[in-house]
Amino acid sequence: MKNVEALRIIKLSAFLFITFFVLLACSTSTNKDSFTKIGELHISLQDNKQDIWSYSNHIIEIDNKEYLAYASKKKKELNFINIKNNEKEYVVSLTEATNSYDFSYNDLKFYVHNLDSIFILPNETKSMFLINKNGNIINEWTLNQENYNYDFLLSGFVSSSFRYYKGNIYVRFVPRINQFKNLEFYHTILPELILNIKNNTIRFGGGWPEKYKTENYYDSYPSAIILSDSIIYSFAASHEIYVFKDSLIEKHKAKSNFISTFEIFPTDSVGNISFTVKYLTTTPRYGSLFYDKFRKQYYRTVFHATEYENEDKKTVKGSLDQPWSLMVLNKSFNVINEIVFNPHEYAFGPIFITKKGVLLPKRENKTAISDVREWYFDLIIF
Amino acid sequence: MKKILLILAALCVLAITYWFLNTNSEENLNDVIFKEYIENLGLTVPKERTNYILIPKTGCQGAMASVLMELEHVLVKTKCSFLIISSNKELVAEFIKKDFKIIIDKKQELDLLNLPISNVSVIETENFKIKKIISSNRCEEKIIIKIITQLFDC
Repeated sequence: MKNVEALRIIKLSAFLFITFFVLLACSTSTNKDSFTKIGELHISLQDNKQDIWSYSNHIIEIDNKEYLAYASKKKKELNFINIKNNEKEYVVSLTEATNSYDFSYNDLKFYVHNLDSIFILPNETKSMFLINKNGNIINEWTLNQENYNYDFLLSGFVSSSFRYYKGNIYVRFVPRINQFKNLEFYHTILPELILNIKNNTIRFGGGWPEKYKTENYYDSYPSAIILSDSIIYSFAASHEIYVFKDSLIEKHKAKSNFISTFEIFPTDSVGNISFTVKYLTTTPRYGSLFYDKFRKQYYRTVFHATEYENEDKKTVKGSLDQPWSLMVLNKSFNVINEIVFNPHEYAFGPIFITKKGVLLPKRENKTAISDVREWYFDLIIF
Repeated sequence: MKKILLILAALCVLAITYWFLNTNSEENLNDVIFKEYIENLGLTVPKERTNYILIPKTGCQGAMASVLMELEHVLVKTKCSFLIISSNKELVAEFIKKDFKIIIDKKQELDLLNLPISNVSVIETENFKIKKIISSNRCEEKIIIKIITQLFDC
């Protein structure tokens, strides 16, 4: 009898123990034990959102100070905002660039190598150019479509590779092919165009997961970073980090605790905007990859599966409402930690790496959404 | 045999009642959602027939721009009562040039309503309730224009 009682108590304790940990794992609160908040920062780009073409996707260092740069459509200039004091400290004119190229239908994207070497990309065109600190065009490149069997464009999408490194411009090459009807062909074309600016030769780099040739995961613009001369990818539907260097491919497993399977995007829903929005807001997928050169580690955003309808049944989730986490990976891409964030407290982007720590944007309060492009960040160390 | 028939009849009645209640609750929920949204904007749904033109932030921007340009010509001529509500201030500023009454949803709550609306959509109300929701989730401006312009034939 005593043994039966003891067994019942053990079973009950085990059940409660397991339930406790399951509930803990399901929590959407930010687990603040996994990082240290060391400060706050407010960055304002001093222009209304509709007057901005684009802003840099990383912090730019000039004379030991840190800046966020943005291209103003209204003023035709590139402005450098000191992130410490929110002051505009450098301005590069875009007058000559905008007089030489029609930006009526294309956003202006840019990469700052240094203040005297800024690469400009009229987004989704076939041209790029280089300007100096006075805004003068130093060099210009236009790709000839006749050299290819299909039409294409060069993309400066926020997660793309557009940057300059050791004599080469890296830019996302997008063939103008219906990728949903031509999955296999589309995913045999290497996604990064590499232009050697000394001898004007072109080669292609990067790649795709093999399964993308047969399965559609709506991942046309995977996150890519250039480090040394490797192209490193985080694909939405792969646990692995891909590293491409010349013809070598390395795959490093960096699996999230919150993704077990991926959902294929059904072919018959292509072109259905409401389905697409729902898919991108609710399915589990990996997001952007960042390299923290100061702490020699990587960060990978992870979006968790969720329901589209909120509990009130009257509203649905927006893209910022999807539960998410941030994986911290060491130099060899081993997972050090994965931190869950409350999506109502922190947005998943834009994330910036600074000398002191990582800038994580806080969600705006809902009284009104600001017309000015600005963010309130927490400065965090992982 | 009688018992079986009675049971079957009872099940039929239950099924019909369940279907009726569900259909009505879905319609009622859309009314509740839309009315609350309108009231949050400081407005009320009137008794007279009114067309609410909804322009969310999310959608096929190119198709939406084409629809707005075409819609402007229709709205100038229509005798129907209408109101434009948008969370996409930039699109409206660029493609609607006439002096219509436009409510800008600054909190962008329009995009998060659990209503079957995508791209430029129209909700027609009458007698304080939703009569029709016209929307297309495809990025084909010709279809959207065709179905929307039919509503403005008053």
